[in-house]
Amino acid sequence: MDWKESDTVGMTSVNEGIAKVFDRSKNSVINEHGLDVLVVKNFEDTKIPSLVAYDVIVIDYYNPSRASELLRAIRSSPYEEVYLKAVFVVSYGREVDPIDEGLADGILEEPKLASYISKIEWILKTTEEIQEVSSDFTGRKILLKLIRFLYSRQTNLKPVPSSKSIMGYSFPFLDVNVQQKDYQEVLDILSVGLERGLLDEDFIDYTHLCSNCLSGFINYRETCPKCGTRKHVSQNTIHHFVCGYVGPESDFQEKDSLKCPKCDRRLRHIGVDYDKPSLVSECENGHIFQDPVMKTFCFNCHEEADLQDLVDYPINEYSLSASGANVAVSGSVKQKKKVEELEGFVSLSVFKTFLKVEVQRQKVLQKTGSVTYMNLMLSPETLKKHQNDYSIFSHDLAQLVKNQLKPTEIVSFLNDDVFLVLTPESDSEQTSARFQEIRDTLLRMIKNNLGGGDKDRIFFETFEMELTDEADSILEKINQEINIF
Amino acid sequence: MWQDLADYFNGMTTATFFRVYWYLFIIEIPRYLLFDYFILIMFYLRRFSQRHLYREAKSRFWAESPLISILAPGKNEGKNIYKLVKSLEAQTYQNYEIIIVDDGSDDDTPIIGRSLEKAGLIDLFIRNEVRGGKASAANLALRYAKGKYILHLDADSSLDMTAIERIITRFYMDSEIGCVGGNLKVRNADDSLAATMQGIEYLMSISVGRIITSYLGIYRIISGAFGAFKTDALKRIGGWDIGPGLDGDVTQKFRKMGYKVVFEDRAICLTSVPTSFSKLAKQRLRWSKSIIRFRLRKHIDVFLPTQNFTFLNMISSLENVLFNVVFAFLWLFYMVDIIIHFPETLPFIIAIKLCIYTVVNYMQFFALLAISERWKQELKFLIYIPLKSIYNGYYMRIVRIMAYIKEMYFYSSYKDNWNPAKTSDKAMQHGRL
Ligand SMILES: [Zn+2]
Ligand SMILES: [Zn+2]
Ligand SMILES: [Zn+2]
Repeated sequence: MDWKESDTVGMTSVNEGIAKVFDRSKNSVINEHGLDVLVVKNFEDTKIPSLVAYDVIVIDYYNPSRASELLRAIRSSPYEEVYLKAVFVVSYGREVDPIDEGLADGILEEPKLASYISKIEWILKTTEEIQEVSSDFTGRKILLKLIRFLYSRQTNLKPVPSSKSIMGYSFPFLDVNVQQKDYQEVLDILSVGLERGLLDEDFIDYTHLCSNCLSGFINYRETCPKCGTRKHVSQNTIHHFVCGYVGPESDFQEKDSLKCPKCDRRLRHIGVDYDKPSLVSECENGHIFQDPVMKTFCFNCHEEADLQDLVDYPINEYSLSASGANVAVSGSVKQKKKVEELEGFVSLSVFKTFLKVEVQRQKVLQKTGSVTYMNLMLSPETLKKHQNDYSIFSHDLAQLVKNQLKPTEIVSFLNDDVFLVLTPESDSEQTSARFQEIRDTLLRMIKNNLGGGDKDRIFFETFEMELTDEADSILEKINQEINIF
Repeated sequence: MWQDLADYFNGMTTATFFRVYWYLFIIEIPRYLLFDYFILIMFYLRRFSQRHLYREAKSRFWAESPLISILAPGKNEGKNIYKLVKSLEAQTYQNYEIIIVDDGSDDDTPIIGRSLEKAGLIDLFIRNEVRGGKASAANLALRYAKGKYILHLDADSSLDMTAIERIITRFYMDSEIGCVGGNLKVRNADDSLAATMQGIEYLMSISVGRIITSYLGIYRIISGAFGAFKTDALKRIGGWDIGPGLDGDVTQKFRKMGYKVVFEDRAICLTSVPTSFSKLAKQRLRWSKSIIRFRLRKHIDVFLPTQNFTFLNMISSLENVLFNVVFAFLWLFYMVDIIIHFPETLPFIIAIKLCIYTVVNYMQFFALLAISERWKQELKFLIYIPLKSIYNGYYMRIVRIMAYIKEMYFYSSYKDNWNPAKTSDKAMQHGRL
């Protein structure tokens, strides 16, 4: 984060007063209801760390793309005191992009905050509260950010229709926080939140997405059922009552009027001397049809498919559950501590230490070891069964894992569902094969002894440590897979 | 009783015999027995002597193998379409397209038709959201037909394997032939007495009648249930006009254009007939009204010396009007005469007439079985033949007379809901078409 190193704070002195509020070349600070408000107009002068000094940020929307950039930078910051900042957009009547609106705490007509005072106060209070807790939340950091953002706003995560989102809907706060606009990741984060009981969902809409790439940017094509061409014209048929002739409208067309080709009478009044009983299409190859075949074309991946191939994807609004609110403040998930107290498990920091030692050791011995992560993805059904005895359940689960490991292996229980195992001096292929067996055994035991079912899954991957590797680079590699540090 | 009968015969002179039975001996026996069988014999002799011509025509037809457009317009026929398609798959001749027009069905016909079209079993399925009547549905199918010949079928009919081959071959025998009627037989003759009687009627009266009129060149009605047309000619006359009786009407227009119209008794189509006498009466009322509407109103010009006048067309209509309309009223007059003047011997008269008819009917029946291609199935009609004289002689006559009177005085065919009101009203306004 290069903002961190920046130093200058572009701000004008309070004394220069309200007159400067309309001067677009300079930021200004005003004081409203005892709050220090930074009004940002000069984006060049605004450095992120400096924002910490103000209670409220108001961004002038005269340059939407710069305003948007700043909003994104604030919300994607890793620091609570930045990403939880109360930020408003003053639009002066301009239309505000819905994503920007979703990132801001409110849209103002002019820089007056009176109606938002209680909201701002709540944000300030909770931010302070949260900041004081040193988080040992080991799940995805983005999830914790989201939970804290929602908690400090007392709001829900609402899907915003957006042409910029490949799915058609965007969750602005998550969008700016995932790395490469990978929508799958956004969905993953939300489903982890649901799985862990931190979020609740409420159905909003179905989107119809390309089955190939989950894009909602779909063109619907009507094609000839006989030859598949897109070139066809459809027209009404006309039934001339008096003579019984029926044919496409073009049969009747004569300059500006309609005349029956069979009896030469001029058509005058629809419903009285003629009607239009059907619609018939003719393609460039002379095929006649009434029901064109609907094909879909994905603008994103260029795949042509049948209508029924589209994926009906539910779009939900997410709200914080009671336990989610708890986590937002405490920064930790209750059960985790108990697991860490288990015999034979080490905390992540201890694990890192062991890893560093191992890295040094293998450089001396010229023998490599490996690190394996195991990710338990238990089905909602299984989790529901253990709603009330969850700590006992996860205790049992941890014990099961531990029993499968060798005495020389170091294991850390990262959170409710991820284990890290350090296997010294080992061949990664053999280790991987062993973990495959462990996985099968665990699944069987979960099913037989812990009320699990066929939908429970365990993912694992073994990373071989190169002689050149450092402890951090190994963990970085793993994190790219599971995104939890 | 038998004594009374003996007395009745003893007391009768030749003069009184003719006074009572003149209608039978002057009209019915000469017309329906002697004349018919003379012509039938001529017909079979000619067929035999021309059999090489038929074979040559057939090979010309196969050499060309033209596309045939099979049109089956109708309302609520969904359940029949699949059976029709399957019966067509069994045809010896396979170069055809199937066009189904759904005339505003209110059942699941659109779903069935559309899925058959998707499955490639029918070539074109057109759905009309609002009903336009049989003629308009057929015309819409015709508009998109690409074949050289049109085969018009009822969706609930099914064809003998060789039916298409045989009906189309006739066009190759004589280039002046514009349309060919196929031979209808009753599929559901076992369903009820009404259906059985129609089975007998189709076999003995309708088929024979068509062979005779076709031989004489005065064949008038190509049944919509199974008829073939030259596509270009049919398009030139603008297809079908609104019914009822549209089949007779379109045939008449072909005749007026100078085309020959023939019957092919060996092209056989099985059709379903009404299964109750009341439904049958309704159907025949409609058919009979059309004689008045089309022969005596719309196409009255065939009797007039216009430039389109041909002797055969006049005879054709004349025969139709004479034997149906005039004779029907003549019979009514005859029956009233008998009832008034011979009330006491009426039961004898009716019984004797039925006996004579039955004997004649059996003779006819056996003659027809001898030449039928499915005589084994038709043998079951044997025990019902005695009822034929009541069916033909009384039931049908009364239905016909009612129809003529209704149509002549009340134009009732224009009010028939067989056609949507919008079309009938227009036909009525525009000079009673
Ligand atoms: Zn096409
Ligand atoms: Zn017209
Ligand atoms: Zn795609």
